[in-house]
Amino acid sequence: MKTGLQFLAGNEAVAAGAALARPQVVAVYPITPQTTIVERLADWHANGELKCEFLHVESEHSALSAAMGASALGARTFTATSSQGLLYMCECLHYAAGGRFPIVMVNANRALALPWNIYGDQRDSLSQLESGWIQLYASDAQEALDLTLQAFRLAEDPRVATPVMLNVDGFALTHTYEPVQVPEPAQADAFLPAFKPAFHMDLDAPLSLGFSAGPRDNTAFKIHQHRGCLAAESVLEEVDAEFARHFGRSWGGALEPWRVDGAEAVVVTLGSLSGELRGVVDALRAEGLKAGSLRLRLLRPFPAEALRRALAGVRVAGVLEKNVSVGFEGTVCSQVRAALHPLGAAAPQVAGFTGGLGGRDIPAAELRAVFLRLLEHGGTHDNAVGWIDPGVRDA
Amino acid sequence: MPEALSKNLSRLGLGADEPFVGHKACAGCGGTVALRLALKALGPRVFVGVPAGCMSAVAFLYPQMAFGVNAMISTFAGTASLLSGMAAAVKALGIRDAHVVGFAGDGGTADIGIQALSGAIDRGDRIIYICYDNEAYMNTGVQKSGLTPLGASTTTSPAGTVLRGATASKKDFFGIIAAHGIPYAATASIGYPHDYLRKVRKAAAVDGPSYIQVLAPCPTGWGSAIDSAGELGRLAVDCGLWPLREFEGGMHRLNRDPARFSPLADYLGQQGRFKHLDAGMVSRLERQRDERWKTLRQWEEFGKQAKPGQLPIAEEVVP
Amino acid sequence: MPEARAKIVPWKAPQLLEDYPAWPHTPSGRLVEGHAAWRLQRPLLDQSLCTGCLQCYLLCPDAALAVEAGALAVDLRLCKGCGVCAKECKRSAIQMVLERS
Repeated sequence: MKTGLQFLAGNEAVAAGAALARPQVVAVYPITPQTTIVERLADWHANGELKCEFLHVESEHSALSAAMGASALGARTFTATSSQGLLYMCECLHYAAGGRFPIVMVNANRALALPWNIYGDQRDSLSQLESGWIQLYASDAQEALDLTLQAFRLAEDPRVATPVMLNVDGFALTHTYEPVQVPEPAQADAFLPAFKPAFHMDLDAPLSLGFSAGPRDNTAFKIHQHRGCLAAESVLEEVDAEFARHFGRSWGGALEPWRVDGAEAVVVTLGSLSGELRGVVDALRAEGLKAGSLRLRLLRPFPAEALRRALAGVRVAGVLEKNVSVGFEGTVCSQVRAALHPLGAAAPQVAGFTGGLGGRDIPAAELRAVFLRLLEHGGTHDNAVGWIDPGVRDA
Repeated sequence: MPEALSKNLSRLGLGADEPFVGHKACAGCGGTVALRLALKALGPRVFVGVPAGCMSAVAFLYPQMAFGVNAMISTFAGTASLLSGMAAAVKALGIRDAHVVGFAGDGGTADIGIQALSGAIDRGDRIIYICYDNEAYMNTGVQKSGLTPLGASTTTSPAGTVLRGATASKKDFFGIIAAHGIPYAATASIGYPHDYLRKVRKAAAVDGPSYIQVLAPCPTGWGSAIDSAGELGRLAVDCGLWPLREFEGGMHRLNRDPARFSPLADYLGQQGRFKHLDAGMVSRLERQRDERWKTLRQWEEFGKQAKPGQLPIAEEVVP
Repeated sequence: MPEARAKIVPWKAPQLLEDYPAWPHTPSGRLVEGHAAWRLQRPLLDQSLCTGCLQCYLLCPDAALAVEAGALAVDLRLCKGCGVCAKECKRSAIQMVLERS
């Protein structure tokens, strides 16, 4: 693996981050557009650079199940998936989160069948928000590498003890190339020392894991789990500050605001779309329009208080996601509405937008149109979905 | 008598520790005998995986933990993959002299668990996989599994007026496992505990995957007397419905091939799940048994005279 | 001593969250109750007939039989009264008798 400044695809950056974390067990199963992550890890493993147990599992359910088995003994584990694979391991997602195993998994955001589609949108991870995993969303290759390293420290912190899903937009991020600083192994080791598990199977102190808890006791464990996940928001800030001390780069925790100060209309989004959005905001500002954008880096735990603070004084918030919760509105939109509700009359109006499904491009002109609509019409008074450039119209 | 007792005890080589005690299984449960004996033979240096099913449901009810050794409940489909992960961690962490062992029922093995088990064997992971076969999904109240025998009444294949119990034969799951070229596999029965213990010890010595399918009679699900698990475990073998076999070095071996089987009726007649069988059906089962044994003997012969390249042995090239 | 094999320590559900483990994992082998109350019958051993074959010991689902002071004895905290031991004994050295109320 080459270190220093490299020209890497998002997946290659993720793979580098994962390798630098020195996982002891890696479970491998291919699915577009994640596949080049595991291929890169396989290259390094095959030439002896990546020293780990490399498990060619026979399905994604087995990938996460094997990761739990390894984690139960106190090994640092990593896997990656996407879309149908994420759904196939759905049972194991809840299992790993409830079991508090600090597994790190990268999910290449991709559309869900049916109809079949291998391109990027955000339905896969958004459909699994209830699983209990911490969910992070990266916007470029450097961040993807850095968050991979941060994810292990976050997951393994005993105050958190929760698995982390790092999401990277399929093709838009996984397969596009950027200059990326790949840390030296010694740097990564200093930031991320060997895994010290909070609990593990031990031949000297045998443990029974994953037991049954009935009506009397079940809630206590779920409260513990809920609080562990909630703690991740502040621990992420600590981890990011520590990261900055080691690498000279800081990502800033749960939110990434762009020109939100004094903005009238802010578009809230996830992932790599935020890059395009910043350009649109800058152009609007140059025309004297008070636009801003806000990226949610952390979606679970949901940074509700931070969001309320960030959007205080904003007149209208548009929530733009590559997803729709069929039969209602965008999932992220619902969550933003719920988080802003306690502000009462002072809450920004909200409008939800869905675009980019099945890998459909969202041109800058469409993003600009969203802002103009928000500035002119404000929020919606119902939960109607604002379809961005669907490519069809009604008769 | 005390000398015979202590002599037999030391010959068993099992030790006084009870690694599986305090569970809430039915009184007379055959499955718990399979787990208890295997764990006593394997010793305390184990990492155990048990999927959803009877054995996990009765042994992990917080706060009562019936496993005295490291143990974890796996997902229903994921026993073998959990074990694979454990085995990988054993290697990664440099843990020595320890066994990774799983205990899954017939449903959790031959139906929902087959994919993960196939993968684990294919990878050559060092795991001991023990299927306690009680021939139905017992924990959920006796439903038909892929290993439910022909004619057996279960709640999803009841003896009705048109259909008379399970209409499909038991999957030849042992054959499926053997076809992977697994280093060692065996069938066993709690009715022959010494044979079972011998096989557990053989499995423990394998540097790779091993598989044991142990008949674990379930009086609750089979509709037999509360004290019948041991006797039924013996009769199943003696009447030929449960051949004791091994698969090793690519060759099938029959541990016993009696000149005469005991009558099927002695075995079937004690079980409520077979009480609806008429004489015609019992004859059919006898013929099926006889044909099966012909095949098993042929497989054993084939192994003896086959050239190495003809035998299903999983090959691995490791530098 | 049965206690050596299976320590049974009664337990009360905690009232404070901090007294529950933070995750659904807990030390192995901890028992809070036995199963004597399940029994309708209990085994009675006639030591004079016992040959020490250990078939009852091997087949007991509940590990209720153990060798103590050179003889087999039943741990009545664990025995569920299934009768497998009596059934398995070739010398009829074990009889099942009804529990008295």
